[in-house]
Amino acid sequence: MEKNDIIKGKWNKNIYWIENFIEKGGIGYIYKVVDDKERVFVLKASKDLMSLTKEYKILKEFSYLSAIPRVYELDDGYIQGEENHFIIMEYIKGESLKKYLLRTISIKDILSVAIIIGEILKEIYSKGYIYWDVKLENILIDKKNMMIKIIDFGGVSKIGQSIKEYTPTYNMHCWRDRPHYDDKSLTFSINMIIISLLYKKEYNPLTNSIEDILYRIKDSNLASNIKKVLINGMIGNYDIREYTGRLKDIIREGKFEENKHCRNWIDTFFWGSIGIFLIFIFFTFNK
Amino acid sequence: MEKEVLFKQIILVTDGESNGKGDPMESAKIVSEAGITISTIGIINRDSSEMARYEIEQIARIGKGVWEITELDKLQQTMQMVTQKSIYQTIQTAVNKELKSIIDTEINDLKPDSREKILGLMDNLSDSINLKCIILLDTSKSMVSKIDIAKKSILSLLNILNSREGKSEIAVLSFPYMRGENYNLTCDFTEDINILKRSLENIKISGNTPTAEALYGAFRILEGKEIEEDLEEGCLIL
Repeated sequence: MEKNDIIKGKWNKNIYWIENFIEKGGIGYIYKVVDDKERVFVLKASKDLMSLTKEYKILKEFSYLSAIPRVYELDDGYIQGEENHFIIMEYIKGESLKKYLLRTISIKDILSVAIIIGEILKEIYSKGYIYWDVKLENILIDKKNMMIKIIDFGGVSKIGQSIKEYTPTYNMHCWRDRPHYDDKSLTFSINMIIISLLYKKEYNPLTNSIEDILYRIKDSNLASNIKKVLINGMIGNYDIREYTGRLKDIIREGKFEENKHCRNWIDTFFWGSIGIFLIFIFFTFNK
Repeated sequence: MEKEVLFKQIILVTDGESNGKGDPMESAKIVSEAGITISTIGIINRDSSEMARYEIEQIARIGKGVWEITELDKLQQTMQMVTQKSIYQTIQTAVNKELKSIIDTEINDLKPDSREKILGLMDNLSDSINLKCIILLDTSKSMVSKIDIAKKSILSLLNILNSREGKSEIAVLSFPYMRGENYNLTCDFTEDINILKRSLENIKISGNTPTAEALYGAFRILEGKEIEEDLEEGCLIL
């Protein structure tokens, strides 16, 4: 589809003009469009009726949350000569967290983002749904309005029903032999978001093992309480309520890193003995 | 006794065209007529032959399943997606047939808010039916560099499928097998990730790609043990 191409809804008869193509998502294509009153929207088109209908239903049900896009309608229409289904959503000016893999972002900011995502997913979970497809691309930062938004709700399932859309890096089931099918797995996903942003790298369960990540956390100079939360989140020891609680504690305490120069007594001992050695040499040669 | 609904599927995972005896399209036809869905996944790229692509598409078409071309690192998501899609597709075909006979219309012709309810029901049904899925894994020489990722992908698939409400069992049949045998049942139907993990360690790489015979093999395994069970439990095959 090109600029100024028209999509006309089969049922509601609304007309939208394409502004530009945004991206290809998991199930279809996403465009920026305008309507006859010059209002700007996002149009998500797909042939996957099931996923799109579900996304529409969920977005409607949670429309009271400001952290998700508003949804306006679900309709059918022709796109490039083929019959498609589409939903019309709020256009969000924001950058996905994926962009932050290339930027510096403080530990405090990373943890704050994780708390906010945790609160949103906790609310959705408390209403009986699990948002499975947690990934950097699905989290948008709207700097102008200072908002965090979660997008792409096609992969949301009722608690107890199956995982339909997911991304291996952020999905516990791709990392562990005995995964959890409840909010402990949400905790795992948010934990992996923190890890990706901390290490500027999205670990892949096909080429890395969970031990690689645990080792990297243990060996880092993060504050010990952060290490503890990250490791336990990885293993699946926290439900989402406890997890966000722990993260808030860390922010409150305000200690994010151990002192780099003097990490433990071995370092002290090492530098001390070098000092004594130098003093010894100094006195030996001054005689 | 409660009637159980069972969905049987073969997923063929291959990186090239068949070069064994027999015509895989012929085998697909026979398997499909027995009510088993065949989906196919090709781990192929631009350099792969036209024939490989054609075969992957045709086998799924005849098998009333779904076909996908994928890169190796997307294999596990593709396997999950193919399974999900083929279940939906089968249910949707059945629902459309019913709608056609009752109100002479198909689900796509209904207004969005009327179909929301039907889709909800279909979603619940797709989650609660029992699933028997046999993965037909190409272990010919060209798979050498891909086999480790393929194994990991199969393990994750079982973990993901275990999130379903209904029972999900996976079996793995690798083809070819050593000493000129066409195929080997690497792992019989199981829900247990540890059994699957242990079995996958025994996979050996060798030889060519006897797709036609392997399809018959999977058919025999799916049907052979089940014919009596079906009669006893009153299973309904979609």
